[in-house]
Amino acid sequence: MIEFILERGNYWAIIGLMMIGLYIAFAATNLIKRLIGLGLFQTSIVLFYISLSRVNNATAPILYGKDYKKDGYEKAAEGAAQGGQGGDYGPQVLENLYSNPLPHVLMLTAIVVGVATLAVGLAITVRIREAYGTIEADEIRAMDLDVALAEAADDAEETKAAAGAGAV
Amino acid sequence: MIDYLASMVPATIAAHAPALLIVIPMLLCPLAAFMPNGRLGWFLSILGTAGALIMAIVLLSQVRGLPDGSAIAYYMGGWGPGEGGFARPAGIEFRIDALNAMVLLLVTSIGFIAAIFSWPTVVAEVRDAKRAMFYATYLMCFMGLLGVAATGDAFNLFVFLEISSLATYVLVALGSSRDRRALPAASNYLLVGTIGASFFVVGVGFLYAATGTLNMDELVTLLPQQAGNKAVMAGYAFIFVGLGLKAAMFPLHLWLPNAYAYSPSFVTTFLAATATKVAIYALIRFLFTVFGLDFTFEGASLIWILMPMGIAGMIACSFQAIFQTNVRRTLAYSSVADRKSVV
Repeated sequence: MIEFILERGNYWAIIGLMMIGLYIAFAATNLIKRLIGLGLFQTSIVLFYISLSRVNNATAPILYGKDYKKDGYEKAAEGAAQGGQGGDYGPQVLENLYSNPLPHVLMLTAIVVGVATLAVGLAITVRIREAYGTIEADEIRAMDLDVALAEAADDAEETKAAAGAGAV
Repeated sequence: MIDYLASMVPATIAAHAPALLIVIPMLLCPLAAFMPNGRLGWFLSILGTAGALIMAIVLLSQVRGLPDGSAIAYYMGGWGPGEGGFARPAGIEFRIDALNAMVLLLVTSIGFIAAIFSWPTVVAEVRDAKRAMFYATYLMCFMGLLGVAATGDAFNLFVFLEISSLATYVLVALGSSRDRRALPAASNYLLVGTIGASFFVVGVGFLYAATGTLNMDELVTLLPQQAGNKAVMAGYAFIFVGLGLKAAMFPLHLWLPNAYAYSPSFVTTFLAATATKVAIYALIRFLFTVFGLDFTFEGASLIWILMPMGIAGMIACSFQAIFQTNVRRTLAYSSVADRKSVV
């Protein structure tokens, strides 16, 4: 039981971060705090993918030692031409153990997407500050509610006046 | 007629139609961003959407020529079987079959027509200095939606989904010149949309953990071998909720009426017709093609979830539509109700 919990330590961290991030995103009233929660949530996703890429006793996916050849690309192409025909996409036999580089690459993309989302979110928050004078979501809702009630009251008065004029 | 129109495009260009479909609007987008004049941005957006429309027509004629059930497989950079020489798809694949081609034709034609008739409303609703950027953002959104519809790689779908969504958040927020309530609507939409896309990417991660591939075509063959795998079921749940948030399915639709009501008219026109439909296309692609009918309806007992949600959505949203005073919100609520019948 204890091993079950300890072995999967990284998955507990992922779940914890994801839930904390989600809670901050929907419970915080300050718009900046909501964006921070979103960032925390996206960090947990990065951790999830990196956990998938782990190989036992393997190191970071950068060629070193005997696998590192000076003209890496050309030699790899030669290896593909000689040994990789019709096989899978590993052209050379590697001496050392490397972890899976694909999830790392996917998460670089996801991090960039997260940065772009944060930028757009902050820009919208700046505009909200300019337009409303506050960045607290409940105050903004209160202001919008006042405007909506005032609009409804105006509409009611207009229809009464039109009905009165029609009746006369 | 489609074949006649498609035959006017030279063969060397038609061979790369899936890539050009994305590249033409993508290259015109930064060009439109730097235009000094809103009108030039408008012309460039018409050009970009027209180019994508031509490519979509070419793709439709190519797909019609194929036997039933097969698809056009276009491997970016040649990294796949065929000329690439690899045994399995090594890179990103664009896979166009009959469902895809119809969605692409829908999005490109609506984008083209909406762009042509957009100028008067944009002049009235968007400030002068922002019009060129507005059209650049529109091209970015258009390109992202086409990428979602055309791609055959699960993670690539997330990337294009986020491209189109980010552009959509900006487009909705640009309605603030008319009504400042567009800004909190855009902020809420950003929050909900990013959470939805992040759930989707977690689901894709589970699928990758179970099968080792991201290519949707390979997932079709590899997933049935993992029949009872809990990771696959968890991935399925995450993908369903994530795409449901994007497609505004019933309990997850609360961002939609505000976002559509306060954005510029051109944006509402374009998004109401395309954005959620493309998300529903992605949902269909995952539920029926990748996961297969058996898993969807029997294994996951989805029939007990989808149908009640669909019926509840139709009734609840139609009721809310009756009580709205703003015309746009009424139409937005009825749009959500229509979506329930699609579900």
